[in-house]
Amino acid sequence: MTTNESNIDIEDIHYQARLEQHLNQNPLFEERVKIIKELPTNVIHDEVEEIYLSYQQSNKLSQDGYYIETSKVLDSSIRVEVRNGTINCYYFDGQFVAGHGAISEKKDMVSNAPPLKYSSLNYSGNMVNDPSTTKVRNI
Amino acid sequence: MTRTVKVANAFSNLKLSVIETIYSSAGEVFESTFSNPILENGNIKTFTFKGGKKIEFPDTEQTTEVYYAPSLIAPGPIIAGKKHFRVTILQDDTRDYCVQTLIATYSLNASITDIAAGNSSDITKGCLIYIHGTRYTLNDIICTESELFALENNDAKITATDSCKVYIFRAILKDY
Repeated sequence: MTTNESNIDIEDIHYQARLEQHLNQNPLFEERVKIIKELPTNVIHDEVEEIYLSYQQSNKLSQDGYYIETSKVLDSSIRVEVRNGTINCYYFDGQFVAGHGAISEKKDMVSNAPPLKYSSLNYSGNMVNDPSTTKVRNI
Repeated sequence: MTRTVKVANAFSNLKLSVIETIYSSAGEVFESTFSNPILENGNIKTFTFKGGKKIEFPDTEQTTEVYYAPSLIAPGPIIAGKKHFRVTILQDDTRDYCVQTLIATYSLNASITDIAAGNSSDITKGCLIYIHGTRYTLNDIICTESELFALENNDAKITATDSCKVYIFRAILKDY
């Protein structure tokens, strides 16, 4: 387990405050939080130590290796992770698992959050967010 | 080459949302590697309703998957946890829908029903459906194009004038 304290000044970037604000404004958020406690080490050992926060512990984001992962938050999965002294935010939209390539920046969720980072993302074209809503007829 | 993602349409009563993605050009390639892939994908499904795409899994022996519209529902459970995949768009204006549950404690039950011309199918409310066809009726409403429907309040009776295909997505509370 990793217990290294990092030098992140959370107050400076106001990240945690915004995250908490987001949590408070979305009562279903907590319900949607999915804590991954036991991932196989062959999947995660190389980059993330085996510490996984519960939602209640998420105020300890200043510690390296801590992360929380949620599922289906405002159409997306979100991971907030501390790695090598940097808070990383990963937003996976619904197509991530299918390999359609959907890691999208959603600044409206956590405004002014640190830049997104991800392990690897190569796309030959432009990625565009269309403001129109997916059309569905209600019966 | 542009990949356009529309805003998700969410239905709290159904505990489902759906999002459309459009790939403008054949030959587009998206490749990604994740250090911590999601291990369970029981609550996310996609399908291609226009065009086609190929999914490869480099560095593995997993067979390449090809989807042409109206495609099978993907991904299967075997894709969960994959660290590396590559998607190649096979036709211009390829379009996908991705359906997912809004709440993690629900899994997504997905199925496809074929309705032959002249036949009908009844679907109980509480689900999201996509009907692939150009001549059918839905609760006696004449429909002439493929479309997504949210069955929030009413059951559906689909009658195929020409044969059609119905994708059905329903959120099911997980049995822990």
